[in-house]
Amino acid sequence: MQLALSIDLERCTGCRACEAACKLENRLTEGIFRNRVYWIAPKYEGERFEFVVSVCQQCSRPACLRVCGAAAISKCADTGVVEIDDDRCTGCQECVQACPYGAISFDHRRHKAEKCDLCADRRASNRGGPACAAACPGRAIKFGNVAALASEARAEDREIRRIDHFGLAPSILYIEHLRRTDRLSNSIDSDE
Amino acid sequence: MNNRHQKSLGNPVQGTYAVRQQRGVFHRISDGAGRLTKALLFRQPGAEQYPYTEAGKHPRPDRTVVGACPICFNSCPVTYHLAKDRLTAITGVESDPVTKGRLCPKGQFQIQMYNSPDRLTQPLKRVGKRGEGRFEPIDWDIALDEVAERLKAIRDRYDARALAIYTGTRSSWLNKAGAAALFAELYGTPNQEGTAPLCASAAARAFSITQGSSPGGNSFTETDLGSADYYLFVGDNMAETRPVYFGLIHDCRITNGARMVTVDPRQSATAAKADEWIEIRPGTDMALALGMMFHLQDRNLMDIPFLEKHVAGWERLCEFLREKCYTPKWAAAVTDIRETTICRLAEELSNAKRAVVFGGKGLNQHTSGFQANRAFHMLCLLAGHWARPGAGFMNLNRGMPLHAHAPKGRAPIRGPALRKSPTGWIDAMISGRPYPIKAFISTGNPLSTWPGQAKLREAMNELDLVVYMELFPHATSYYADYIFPTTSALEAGDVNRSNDDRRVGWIEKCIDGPGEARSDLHFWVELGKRFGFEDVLKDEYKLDPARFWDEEMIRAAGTRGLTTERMQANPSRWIRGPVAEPGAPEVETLFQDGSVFPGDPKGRQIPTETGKFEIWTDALEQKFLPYGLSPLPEFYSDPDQLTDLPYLKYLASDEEEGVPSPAWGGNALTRPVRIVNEPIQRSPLYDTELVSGRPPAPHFHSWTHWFWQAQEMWPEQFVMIHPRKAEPLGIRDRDRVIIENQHGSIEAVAWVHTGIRESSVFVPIGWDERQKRDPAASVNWLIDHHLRDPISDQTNMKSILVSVRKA
Repeated sequence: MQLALSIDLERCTGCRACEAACKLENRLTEGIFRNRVYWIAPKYEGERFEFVVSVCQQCSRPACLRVCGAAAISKCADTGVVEIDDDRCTGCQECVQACPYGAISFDHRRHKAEKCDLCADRRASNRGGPACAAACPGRAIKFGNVAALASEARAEDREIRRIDHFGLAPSILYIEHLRRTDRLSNSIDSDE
Repeated sequence: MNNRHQKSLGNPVQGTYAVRQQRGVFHRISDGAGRLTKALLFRQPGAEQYPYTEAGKHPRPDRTVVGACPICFNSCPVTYHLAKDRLTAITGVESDPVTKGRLCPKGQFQIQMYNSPDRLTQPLKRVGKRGEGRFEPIDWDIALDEVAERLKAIRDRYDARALAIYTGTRSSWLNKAGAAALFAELYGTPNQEGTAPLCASAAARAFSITQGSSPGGNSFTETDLGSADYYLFVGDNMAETRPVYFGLIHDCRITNGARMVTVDPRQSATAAKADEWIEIRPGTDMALALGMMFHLQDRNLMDIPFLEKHVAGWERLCEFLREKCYTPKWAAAVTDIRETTICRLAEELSNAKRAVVFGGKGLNQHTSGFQANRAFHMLCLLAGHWARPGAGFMNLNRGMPLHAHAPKGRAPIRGPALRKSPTGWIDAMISGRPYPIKAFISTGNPLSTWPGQAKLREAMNELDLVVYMELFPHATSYYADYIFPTTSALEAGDVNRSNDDRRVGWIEKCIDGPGEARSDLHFWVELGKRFGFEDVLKDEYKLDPARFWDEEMIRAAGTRGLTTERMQANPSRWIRGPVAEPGAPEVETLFQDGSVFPGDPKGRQIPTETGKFEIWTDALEQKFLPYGLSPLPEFYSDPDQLTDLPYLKYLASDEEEGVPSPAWGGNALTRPVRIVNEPIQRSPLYDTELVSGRPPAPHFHSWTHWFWQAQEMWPEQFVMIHPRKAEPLGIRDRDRVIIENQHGSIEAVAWVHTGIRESSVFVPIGWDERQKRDPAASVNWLIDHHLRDPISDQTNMKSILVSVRKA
């Protein structure tokens, strides 16, 4: 089994409720993030704002795990969640550098690495899935087994964006936008 | 964090505003704000750094309480997690049928308001000059005695009208329509107002005229608004202003395959999600509706059976459209939208089985705000999209008549308010004409949120008494003679804001306010005692706001069933009005065939004089005469346009009495107008259309700017600017930019992208020059407070000509 999130690029409105939920649940202070929402502004005519949730990809071959000299990072055999053992973390920040998704933060007060563990506390205490998925106003973030999430997306005739540019086999699913035929402003009407 | 993630997702990476946020902590205290806060507060250094922990430990809640969120117009039910007397977390309510546990960022991190070290904690008295920010602590009772004494002196020297009361954004219903309103009635001043005339009174007045009731008739449920197959958003950025409602609508749109079109000068988050984004010239939405209506009647696309049964004056409207030649071609020239697009939109609307038009501040905040709303009502009525599930026009406003009034004969007879909009008081504060306003009590932050900032500061210096009651030391506090620290929602007991969904939700008092903070009710009851008002503003209300609500606030027809008992009985703690009697059922879709409007004494389906939706009647024509306007939507826009369009000439100034405004039942004065079509001499300097509006979802007016996480997410005041506009000016992304006109000058950080009309720039509201982080002079410095809609008295805040240059 591999637990994961699916993030619907069409449904996400960039509101950052997931950031707020994450910090509240995981007691993160300023400058420390387990997830972030980027607003990628349109550069050319006809483009739209793209809102992208950046979060640990729960990779099958995690770069962070390979570089950790303290053996503090492991991938859970049961859930597939990539976890940091706080007691072992020496705060060397190698993992922060290694993650090509920029998903690991460093808590300089605790001198520990911080990253998404799909709300291990909430799962352990039967408080449901991750806080971000529970709060998401746009209903864009879903939590579950990656296989089930993928088949759910395909059942809705939705494509999954391919993001494995680094050969790490990321698990988080980004659901592609709806196919629009007329995304451009005024583009389908002529003056004739 | 780095930007590699974006590359990996196949997206272009740009030096956008987001990059600024990646750099982490920005903690800047301006000198002035620093001095004041040091003078005012007993701060706990570092408390802000770990707001959710106590001595580094995660506090475990020992109980949860469900109640409404008091922050914005989405009014979500939330779960407050409490450990003893401390709030430890805020989450959604999963069982709620509307929100399904969803909650926006500010709803969650409002915990930072309750636990903020920057809160005002003790009453203060000014010792320096106005604006200087020098204060000394004072006892609550002594401060109230002094305020009462000075008010009495002012009332003796002038009269009761010389006191103006403004209840701002953070103020609850219990304050603005409750205790403050009662105090004003008993005291005898008509000049008491909330935020409505800055925000949505155009929507409210327009609905009242068309359908006899101000809230929209539909509900945010899958079976009502979620069931439409066509959504048209006009000047409504729901995704950022009511994120949870938008989540529901947008989810339904995807699931049901509905079409969504957004009309807006900028690509808001709502527009970014729509199937189509149409860039319209600011302030011309009314022309779009007129052009679409012309096409409907020209091509026989109207719903004639619906019109014949339910609508008064639609034939007269069709004649009027033809007389005026409001053709799609005409509308195209006015709106900057192609003629074929206007025709297609009209056809799409007509062909839709169930269509909803969402209007918003983009319609309201213009000198034509009322008529623009009405024009879209007429459009929906002609197409037959009203009074059915999934079909109607929606525009958030004050909603149901939830209001406290003094018993008959108890209050002195008051004349009409000088103006409905509080910005209409500014000139009288300065010149004393038509009568002096010398005392001002503010439970909000006008020095950021009112148009006419330069004049307002002049006015503040002319006043004999300024009282400020707030949570945080906003810019307004610097001009106050007395500052009273107040509580908010969970610290006092409260109801949520008005919202599109007509839901009223209860919030139980669970924690104490910081230091000597007291509720708004406490302030008004105690001040009232000093004037002998205790028989109405009863002492027991101070600690029992629920009793105040049940006894004073739900007296109007259609509101009597909205009791706190009924709210408390719902697991989500809300009830959807109008509900005429305590046991009466809630109504999902109002005005439906076979129904009676809740609480209507005449038992009508539609509570207007004719019992129909009113476009035009003789009686309405009479009602509009004093304004110099007609109920028929004759087009005009704001004077600040880059092209010549009809606009309003005011036949009286704010220093003259004017005439009673029939739309407000004569309870406010207004300036009569004439629509003129004369070319205006424009300064070539001001060549850019400035549009103001709400920032993204984490912010809401002044208070969220004191929540550290909102500032972490959206720190600086920004200006959206098109690359083709920016390039010739030498402005690059993230440059500091000066935006100015004849009224003032502000600075903002450039955000260069194509999501804005080329000739427009967008600056968000809410920043304050005294906020602790990233202070900035508000966009309201650039806005002329005189340019207001004569009917609703809303100020034009969205088509303003400015110049833009690199700082």
